[in-house]
Amino acid sequence: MATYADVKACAIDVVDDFTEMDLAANYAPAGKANFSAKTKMTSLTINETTLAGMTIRFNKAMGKLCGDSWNKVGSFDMVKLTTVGQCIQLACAKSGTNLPVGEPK
Amino acid sequence: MNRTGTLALACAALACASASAEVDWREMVQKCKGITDDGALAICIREGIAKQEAAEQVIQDAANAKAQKEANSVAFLLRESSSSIASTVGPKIGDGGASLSYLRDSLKNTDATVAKMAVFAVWPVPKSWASLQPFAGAAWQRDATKQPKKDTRELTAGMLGPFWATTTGPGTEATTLFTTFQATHRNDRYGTTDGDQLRAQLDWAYEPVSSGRLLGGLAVLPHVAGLVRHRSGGGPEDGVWRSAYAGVAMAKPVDIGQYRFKITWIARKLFDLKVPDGNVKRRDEYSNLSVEYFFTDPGDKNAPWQSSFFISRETGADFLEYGDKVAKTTAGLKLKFR
Repeated sequence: MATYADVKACAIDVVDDFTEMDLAANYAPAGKANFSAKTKMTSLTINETTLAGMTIRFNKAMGKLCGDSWNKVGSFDMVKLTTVGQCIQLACAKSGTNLPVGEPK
Repeated sequence: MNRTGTLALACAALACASASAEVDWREMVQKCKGITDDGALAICIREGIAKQEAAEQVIQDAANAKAQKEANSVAFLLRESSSSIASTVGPKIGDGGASLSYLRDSLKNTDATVAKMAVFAVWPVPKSWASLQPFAGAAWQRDATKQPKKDTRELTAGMLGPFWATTTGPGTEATTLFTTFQATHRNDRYGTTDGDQLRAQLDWAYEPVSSGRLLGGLAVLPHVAGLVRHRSGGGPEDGVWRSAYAGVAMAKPVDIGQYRFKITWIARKLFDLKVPDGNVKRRDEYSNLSVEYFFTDPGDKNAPWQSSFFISRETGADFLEYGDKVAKTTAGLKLKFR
C-alpha cells in the first residue's frame, strides 16, 4: 500500500502538470519553498475548468500508485478544491491513506 | 539548557500542539514545574508530550475515517434548475443557487410564490467507469405572479465529466472534452410542456484558454449539444423535437476587493433539426450577462453559504428551461447553499 509521502508527492506532481509554475520542485521544505499546502489553486492559474479536466490524469496517476485501493475522483470532487492541501487530502481520502498529525503541510 | 528554558520549550511545544487536541497542557506544565530533579522533570515532560500526541492521534484518526467516508459517499447539491447541473463543469456560468420567494399583495388579498429549486445527488465515480460522475435530481420551477401561472416539476438523471483529453500525462497545453448526458422527465401543471428530454452536451476546453491564462484571466469555454424532446402536454407542439445548440461561456474575475467581482456571460443559439408537423423550426438565441459581487470569499468552498449581489441582463429565450423570449435586467441578493 502506498505511504502518505508517496500519495502526497503524487498529488503535488499531478497539480504541477497543470500549471506553468514549478510547484513540485519548490514545494516546502524543498527548493525555494514558495509553495505549501496553503497555496491556492488560483495563484497557480488553475481554475474550476482545469480542476474538472484534471480528473483523468489524477485517476491515472493515483490508480497506478495505489492500485485497487484507489477510488476514482470525478469533476464534482475536483472543482471543490481551492488549495493544494485539499488536493492532498482528497487523494488520501480516496486511497484510504491516513493523514498524519499536522499534515498536509 | 536550564530548567526555565526546558519548561518554556515544553510549554511552547504543548501549546502549539493543543491547537488541534483538547489536552490541558497548562495543568501538565504546572505539574512538571514542581519537580526538582532534572531526570524526573524530563520524564514528566515526555509523558505530557506523549499524552498530547496520543490525544492528537485519536482526533486525527477520527478525521481520517470521516474524510474517507465522505469522499466515497453520495453528496447533495442545491441549484436553481435541472439544467444548471452541467455548469459544475466550466466557469460556473448559470450556476445560480436555489431560491424560494413568497409575495403577498394586501390590496388584492392574494398570495404568490416564486420558486427556482433543484436538488441533486451526486455519486462517486464507479471504479469500472472512465471519469464520468453519475447524478440524479428533482427540480421545481414555479412563478405564480404570472398569468397563466407556471409550475413545473422535473426528475432528472445523468452523468458528466471529462471523457477525453489530448494527454493524460504532463503538459499544460491539454485539450479536454467534457460531456454531460442528461435525461429529464417533465410535468407541467399549467402548461403543455410535459414530456421527456435527452441532452448530450460537449464542452471543449483548451487549457490555456479555458483557464484564462492566455487571455488575461478571461476563461472561455465553447460548447455544442444535441437535444431530443418528446412533448406530450396535449398541445399542437406534441411530438418529437430534434435540435442542436452551440454556444460559449465566459468568466472573468475582476481584480478589485480580492477577486470578489465576477463577470460572466453565456450565449447560445438553438437550431431545430426536426419538428412535429405544423410547427416552425426555431432559431432561438439566448444571452445572459451577469456581474456578481461576493460578500464572502467565493474561493472558500468550506463555507456552507455564499451570499452575493448580482445584476444580470437576459435576452432571448432560455430554451433549456422552455423560457419565453425576454429582454430583462434583474438585480438582487443571492444566497447559495453549497
